[in-house]
Amino acid sequence: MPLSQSQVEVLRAMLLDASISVFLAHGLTMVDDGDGDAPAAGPAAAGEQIAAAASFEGERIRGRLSLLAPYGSLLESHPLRGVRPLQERELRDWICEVVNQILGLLKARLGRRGLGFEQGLPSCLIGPGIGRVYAAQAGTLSVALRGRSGRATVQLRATLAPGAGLAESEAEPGWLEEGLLWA
Amino acid sequence: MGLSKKRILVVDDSESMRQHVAHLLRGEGFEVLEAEDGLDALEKLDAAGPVQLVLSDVRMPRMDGLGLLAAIAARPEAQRPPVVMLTTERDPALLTRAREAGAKGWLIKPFKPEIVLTGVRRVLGVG
Repeated sequence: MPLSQSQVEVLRAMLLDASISVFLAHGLTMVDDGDGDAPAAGPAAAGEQIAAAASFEGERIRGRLSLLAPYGSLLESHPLRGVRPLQERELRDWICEVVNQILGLLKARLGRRGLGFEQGLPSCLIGPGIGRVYAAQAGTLSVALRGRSGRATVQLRATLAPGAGLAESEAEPGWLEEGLLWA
Repeated sequence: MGLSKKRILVVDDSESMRQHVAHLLRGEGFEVLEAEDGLDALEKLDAAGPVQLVLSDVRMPRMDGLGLLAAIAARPEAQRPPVVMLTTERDPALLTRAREAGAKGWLIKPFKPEIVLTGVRRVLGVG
């Protein structure tokens, strides 16, 4: 079932918020750079890009979240930046974790609107021309973020089950966002 | 037992997150072991001697965090360290399952370092 325009707008806002929040939590300020399908207004990226994606599936929604980002943005947000030199292998691992965390935030928000799902494990994609793999596809919601190292794109492909939809408003989270201890 | 003798096993399939958490804990004087999933964690628990705390991700290949929690709960009491989950998951149903299975806490990624360190100290009863 295709998403309505109002659902697309809600999802876009959630996707943008989750993506910016995760990078910010790791010390990197990224700002809204408009529609991810639109041509970049500034430099697309400094240096090569790297991508990762994770699928998700629930009774009422399923799809895939992808992130395409400059290596520089991953270097700038990696938790061990400045501690020691980072290897490319670690940046591949890190982009998977960033996708995992963005999807985790999105899952929480969508769950509060009645669309729960299970996350899959993320996987990484590298190589020349990777941007073309993540070029605009029909039915994919895409947002762009801009940081010091250039432009990153977050894509969400989601399909709703027949009769499923986003609840009008989000239920209040029933517990702390930072966690709980029972010790 | 002094802080430096407290040994913590960090379990996460993300090498970056695992090493980030390990770096934080070592900086506070803890001894840290690392495992990349639940099965690896069980092997480390069997081979490495006493561990005072397990800090584990939930979603991992081979054996996930809830599987690890169940496996630890089935061990003899003396070989059963407290477990705190460290995860992107905010699903209340999973949280309830973890608590019922004996988890001592559920911390959310991304996290502020002080939240994790405070939680670790509290569960260990130090500092």
